[in-house]
Amino acid sequence: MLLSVLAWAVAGAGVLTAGNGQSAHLHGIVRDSTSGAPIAGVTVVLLDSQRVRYSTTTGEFSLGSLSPGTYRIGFRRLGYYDRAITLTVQRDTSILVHMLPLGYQAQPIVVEGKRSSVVGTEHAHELDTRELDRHRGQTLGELIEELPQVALLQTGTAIAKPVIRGLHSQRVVITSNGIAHQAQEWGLDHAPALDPFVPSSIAVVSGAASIEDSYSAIGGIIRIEPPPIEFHRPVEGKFSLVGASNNALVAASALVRGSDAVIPNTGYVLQASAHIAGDSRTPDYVLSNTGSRQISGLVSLGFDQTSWRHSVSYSIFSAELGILAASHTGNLDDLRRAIEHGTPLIIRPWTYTITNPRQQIIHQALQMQSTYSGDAGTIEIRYGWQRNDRSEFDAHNTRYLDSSALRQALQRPAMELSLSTYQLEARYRRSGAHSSTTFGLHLLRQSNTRSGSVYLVPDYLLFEGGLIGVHTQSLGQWIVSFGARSDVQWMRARPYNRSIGAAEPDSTLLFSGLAIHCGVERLLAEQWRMQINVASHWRPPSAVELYANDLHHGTAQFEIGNRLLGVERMYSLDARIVSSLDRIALDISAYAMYFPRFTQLLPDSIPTVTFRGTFPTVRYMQRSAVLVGSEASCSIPLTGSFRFDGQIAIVRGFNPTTTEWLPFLPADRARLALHYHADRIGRINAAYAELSLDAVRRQTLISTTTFDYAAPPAGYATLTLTVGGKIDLSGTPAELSLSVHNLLNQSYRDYLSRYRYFALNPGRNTTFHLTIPIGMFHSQSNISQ
Amino acid sequence: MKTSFAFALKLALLLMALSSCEKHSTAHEDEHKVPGTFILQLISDSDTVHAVWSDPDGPGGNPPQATPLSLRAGNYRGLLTIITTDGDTLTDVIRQQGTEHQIFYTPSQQLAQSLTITTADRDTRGMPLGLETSWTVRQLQAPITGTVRIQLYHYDANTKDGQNPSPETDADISFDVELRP
Repeated sequence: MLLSVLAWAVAGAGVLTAGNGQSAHLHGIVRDSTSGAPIAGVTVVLLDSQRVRYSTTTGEFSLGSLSPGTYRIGFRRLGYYDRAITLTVQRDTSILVHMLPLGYQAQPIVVEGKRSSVVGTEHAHELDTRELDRHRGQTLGELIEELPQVALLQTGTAIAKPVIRGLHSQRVVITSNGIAHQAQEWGLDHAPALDPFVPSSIAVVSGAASIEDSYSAIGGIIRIEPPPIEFHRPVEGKFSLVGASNNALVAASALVRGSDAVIPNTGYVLQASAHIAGDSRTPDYVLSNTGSRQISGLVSLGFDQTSWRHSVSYSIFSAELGILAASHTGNLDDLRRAIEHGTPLIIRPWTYTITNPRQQIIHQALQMQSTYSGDAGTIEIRYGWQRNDRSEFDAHNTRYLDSSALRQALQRPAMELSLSTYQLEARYRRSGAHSSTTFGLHLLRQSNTRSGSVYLVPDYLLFEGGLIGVHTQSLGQWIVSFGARSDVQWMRARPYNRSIGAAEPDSTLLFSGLAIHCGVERLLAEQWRMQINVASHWRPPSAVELYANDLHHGTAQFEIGNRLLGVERMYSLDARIVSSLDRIALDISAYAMYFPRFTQLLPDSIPTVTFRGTFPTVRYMQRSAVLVGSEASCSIPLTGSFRFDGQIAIVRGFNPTTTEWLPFLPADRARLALHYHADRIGRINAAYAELSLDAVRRQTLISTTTFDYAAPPAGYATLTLTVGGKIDLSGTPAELSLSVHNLLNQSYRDYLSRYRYFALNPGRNTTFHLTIPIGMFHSQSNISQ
Repeated sequence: MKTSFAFALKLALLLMALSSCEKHSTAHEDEHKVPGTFILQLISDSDTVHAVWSDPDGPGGNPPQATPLSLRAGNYRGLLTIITTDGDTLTDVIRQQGTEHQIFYTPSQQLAQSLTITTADRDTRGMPLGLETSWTVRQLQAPITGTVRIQLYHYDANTKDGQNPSPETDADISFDVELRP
């Protein structure tokens, strides 16, 4: 296999320029051989030495100064074949290296238990370990926040829910190692129960995603690859330390992997991480009870049996998250008074302590995977078990007990949900010279158990089954991909009837549908690549949309489910153009989605009267909806070592029959950044500095029918300054970065912040990231071809 | 190869069938521990009246029902009793935790000139509580109707000042009230 990879290296590297001097500088650009686009995050290794560099987002890399001689240089990037070139360097040399993407199958590919994170023609953005390392800390959401199509729906700094093109919750599917993450996604204040230190790469797929992961990923997919098991390699590892000033966050993570420890042909990955954070602070006051703490662990074991590979992994994520004390009001009047007051009505001295209201989440996942690779193709069998235990502790409800029982009662959650999911995914993949075909089977069993006094989601049991077929063909300059899957979902729920004070007889529902995805990708000119994806996905109504029947404290609304809801179908068109002209990178996309029946919470004319006052009643309804939008990003090299990056994202949603705007969509946003990089400054290698401006407009397109307690907040712009690089810690290249968010300590509120009614967004935050590799850790070692 | 595949498949199917790793439904003691009935009793020298606000199935479901109060001119002593949906009285608990609670009575605009309600009981720190009240109805020419709103606030330790509501309402109900000459 290695020989065949090296054969690719024969295709040469063009020497572009040359200078003179005693010691020679070697730098260059890595480009995609099919599209000509620069490739970021390529590991560039000066073989036979310890020198490792990474290409920037413009594809540029520098190996620094070398004494004249002949060198072998290796290039490695997830989703591409490895390259190795031999080069004689006598003067300053600049090279252009092309890498062949794995999607182009000039010869059969033997997949060795690893999948490329980007599939076929889909619209994906991939973030590698090095990019992720700079943002790891408190939440998974922060890792992908800088992508233009991603916004965060935040409940303080501890709870960040990714919003892709205005869609979130059940409409965005997160997969980890090919298994969908199942964790009560319906709640606006329910963040993914995933450790931000785990992903070794993340691909964010917008809109029409590959049909393989899910039939219901209407908004997009966040595809996470946990640290892969490496076979036949020495022990290596990574230690990370993160600190943040605003909430006094301290986070640490350690990863060790190796192979052949006791039994030959085995590999293992061990990871542990933890964080503790106190209350966040705005420029003016403390956001009381917004701390968080989390501890996570991952153990993976693999066995390499030549054509078979087996692996088993277990992970546990445990978190406790505080909810802003002032946001937990008793009724609508309290909420109005809290909003009119302008500042939170409860402000306590800063602390790490978390009290009620709070959330406790434990998420466990067990995955087993077997992969067979042979001449006839590849068989993958993935089995996943997940259990998500969520407890939400109220400041209300349990108070009225005599004092002896009170303390005990406050320890009990107001809502306790336990979601268990068993999932089996089987795939058969066959690759020819110009095509690849995948057939798959999806089976799922899920059960939810609730207890406590809140009836938003009932006890239920559901089964899912699906058949999948995907074919990708390259035809000259075109790649064509077509996928279809047929799924069926059966659900039995035990709804609670409030009028009779007891559970109703079980109700059984059956939903089925066909999801289709079709995409084309074409190389237009040397440096232009075009992608068009058309898809239709569908989503069965979730248990909460069908059966909710309670007061939602977070929103002070009485939510009522609707058992007559049908499936939510989506038709989408996504067009994207990527180009790189004279090192100027452009990525422009536009999309439109049409939903004949889009499920949303709409107000009912009759309010709900309770002992705690009168609340607006909202019901889950289906209305037609259209979402259109665009994202654009560019990267322009300026003089010397400077680069300008810019991006913009716009999304519009409306009901085509009433022309009413859809509520709570992200406001228009833009990001401008000036980036400086240098090969070496003092003791720092690959040094960089970046000053960025994030600007968010006021959301002016608001629904007049959907009730909101306060007008959208004013637009804002914040500055972020980041400096970083690599320092040599007695032979170990440690990666270091320091950034200051909200540099000017501005006071602002974000439209997607669920605390905007009560409080400002957090003020200035200085964060510190340190990553120390142990042994020969290569962050890009994901491809073993 | 074949045996290995078969083994993997069998193992996966076996694990799929397992359900021992999931939680089973458990009863929860506090499920219905919310105020369900409010009884306001008003006693004068010559008259005893009472009104009942009740929502036995808790929030949602059937809407709450409330009976009206009819008062004559004069002085009344008011007593408020709160009972949970499962039948326990909350009045004693609120009295015990008096420093953390206060009940406010607000007559509507129509009644404001003719009805005065003052708190008659105190918590252990000497602050007004509101389970017991004094009602004064003025002499009237013609009957008037309106509502009296009763709000129960919960206070964090040492935040109750006897005058201001807290950020957290625990109960907020209204009775229709008729004042007769």
